[in-house]
Parts: sequence; C-alpha cells; structure tokens
Amino acid sequence: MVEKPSSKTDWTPTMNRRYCTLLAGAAVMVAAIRLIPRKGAPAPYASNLTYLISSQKNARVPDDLAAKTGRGPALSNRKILTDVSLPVESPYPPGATENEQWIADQIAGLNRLSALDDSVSLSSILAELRNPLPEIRSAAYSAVRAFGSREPIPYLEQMRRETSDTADQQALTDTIEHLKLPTMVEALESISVAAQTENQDSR
Amino acid sequence: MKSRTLKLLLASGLFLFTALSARASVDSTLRLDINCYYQEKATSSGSKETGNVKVIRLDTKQLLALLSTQLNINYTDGSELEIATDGRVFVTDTKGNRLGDVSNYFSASFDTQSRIYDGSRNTLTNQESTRNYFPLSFTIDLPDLKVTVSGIANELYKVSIPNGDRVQIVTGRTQSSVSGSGNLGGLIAHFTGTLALDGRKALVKN
Repeated sequence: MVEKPSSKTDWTPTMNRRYCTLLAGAAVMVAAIRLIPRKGAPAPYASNLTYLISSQKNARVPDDLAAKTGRGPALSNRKILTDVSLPVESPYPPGATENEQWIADQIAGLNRLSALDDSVSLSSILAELRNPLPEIRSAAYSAVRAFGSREPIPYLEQMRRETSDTADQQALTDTIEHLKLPTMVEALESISVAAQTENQDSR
Repeated sequence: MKSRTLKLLLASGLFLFTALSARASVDSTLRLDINCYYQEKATSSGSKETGNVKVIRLDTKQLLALLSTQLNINYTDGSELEIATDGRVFVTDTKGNRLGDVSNYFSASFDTQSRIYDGSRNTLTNQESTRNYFPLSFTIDLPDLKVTVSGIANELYKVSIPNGDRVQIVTGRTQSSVSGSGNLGGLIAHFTGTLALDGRKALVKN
C-alpha cells in the first residue's frame, strides 16, 4: 500500500512542474510570434543583407569615378538593397517544352537585368542564386559578374558560409574573387595617375 | 567519261558547299567576361629585379564606360552591345533598339566558312538544330585599350519548324574561351576569358 503524501508535499512539486511547463509554453509562443514572418515583412536574409551591404563602405566604386563613367551613381549612393526575394519557380513540369522555353526566357531576363545598374535589378539577380534549377543558378552567377557591382560581396560571402553544396561554394568563391578585382576603368585611372606622378618626379 | 566524273565531282562539291554555308545567322547580344594582366611595376635594385602583375576585369559594361570616359560617347543605363552577323557592333537599349553604331571602336569576325557541325538541318523547311564550331575574334580599338581576342566559338543554333503563319524562330547561343594580347594605356597586356553571344529572331519563310 502506498502511503498518501501530505497535501503540502504533494502540491509543491506538481505546481512547480505546471508553472515550468506554462512558462516554457509562453516562451515558445513569444519566440514564434517574433520569428514567424508577417505579411509585408522582409524576406529571410533581408535584414542581414541590408546590414552587410551598408557595412561594406570600402568596397564601393569612388563617386568621382562613377561620375566619370557617365553612367548612374554608385549603387550605395542610391537605395541600399533592402530585400532579396525568393527565386521565381517554373510553373511547368520538368521536361516539358514550355519549361525549356521558360528557362530560356528567365536566362534572357537575367542577362537583361545584368545590363542595368539599380538595386532592384541586383536583388532580382541575387534571388535567382537560390533557384533550384542549376541552369538558372549558373545564369544568375554570370549575371552577378556582368552586373559588376561590389555591393553584393557580403551577401555572397554569407551565402558561401550557409551552403553545403561544394559546386555552389566554388561558384560563389569565383564570383567574389572576380568582383574584388579592379575594373578596367579603375585600372586606366590608376595607370594615368602613375604616369602623371612619374612625369612630375622626372622634372 | 572523264568529263562526266568531273561534272559529278563538281556538282557534289557545290552541293556540299551550299549545305555548309547556306544557313541563317542571328544578331546577338555580346557578354564579355575577361581578365586582363599587365605589368604594374618592374624595378631593379642591384642584382635584384622585382615585378608585379596586376589583374583587372573587363566586361560589356566596362566597354560602354570606356566609350564614355575616353570618347565622351554616353548611353543610358541598361545599354548593351549587339554584334550583327557581318561583324558590326551596335549599342542597343533595353528593348533591343539600336542607339548607335560603334563599329569604329569594336568589331567582330566569324569564320563560318570553316565551320564544322553536329546535328541536322532540313533543307526544305530550314528547320535546324546544330552545334557549330568555328573561329571567331573580337577587336577593341579605343585610345587606351587596343586588343583582339580570339577563340573557337561553340554555338548552339536552332531554327524552329515553320508555324501556320510560316514564322520560324531562330536562336543562337554562343560561348567561346578567348585570349589575346594588346595594349592598355601604353602597357603590354594579355587578356583571357569568355565571350558569349545570345540572339533570337523571328523569320518568315518564303
């Protein structure tokens, strides 16, 4: 026969357990409310990307150089990238003729975007780096290179840390290294400056 | 007998030539992705010589920027370079409309006469799906940048079967590893990278 415990000794551990459970449940709810994205809230990586891109001040092309190119000002002088949306997925089944055409159109679209110079186009290109279709991911990497801006380097580095796919890691590394190279316009500027300095020194 | 054989040989030769060369081409958007190497520094001190090579990147946007910085020829955002089938180069807007002829500064050459190909073409409908290989080159002739890069084109060329309105869609997608040597701001420079061409047009079959 089991001895019935006194009411005091019975109540305390049971209630403590209940309070703990309630508290844990409340904590999970609060965490869920904070973490589940609401309608209109930034997509995953958005806040991270904004922070990373704003912090990369030394990577941008000098303003005077941008002015000399006759093209638009440097990307970071306009709207900072605030959102990288999810990739666009094909509405057609794999192997369908329409799907093949859809992929070709998407690739052509990425090429067109790469000729532009604004943050919205760059965000659209970056989104496709996460496309499940390898053809589109490959075209997106080419588009990032062709876009030419150094603004997405922190985002690409973040992606490289997150991905476990070795092919993607290599593509990201290659793209980052490429974007870090000086451009032809920058090189000609520095060659011209070096020549002027040499002329002044020789006088 | 001899003359008959000769005629047959000539006829078959002409037929072969026609089969290889009578194919439509398509104006294409150029995408360059090239690295350029040049001697940034070379010094000697006593018995020690030291050199530094600098690597820089060159792409289509840079070519358009160079037109602006070196020749004060400015185009709007989103402009691209289009290579016509005859090798002339145009600047186009986002919709593909030609804005200007820049063939004085850029030009391309395609040796399609020496083309070899995989795939097939229907000589009655012109429907085609071939993988073509032929030499190509691209020349840049700007005040501070002069180079010709060349390579072997790997072109996927397709002509669809005519639809009810006898319209055929022609697409050409070319990739080529290219390299060459030239001059960058008065310095010797070597170039290596890729050249890509993408073209698409609608044809009405007669």
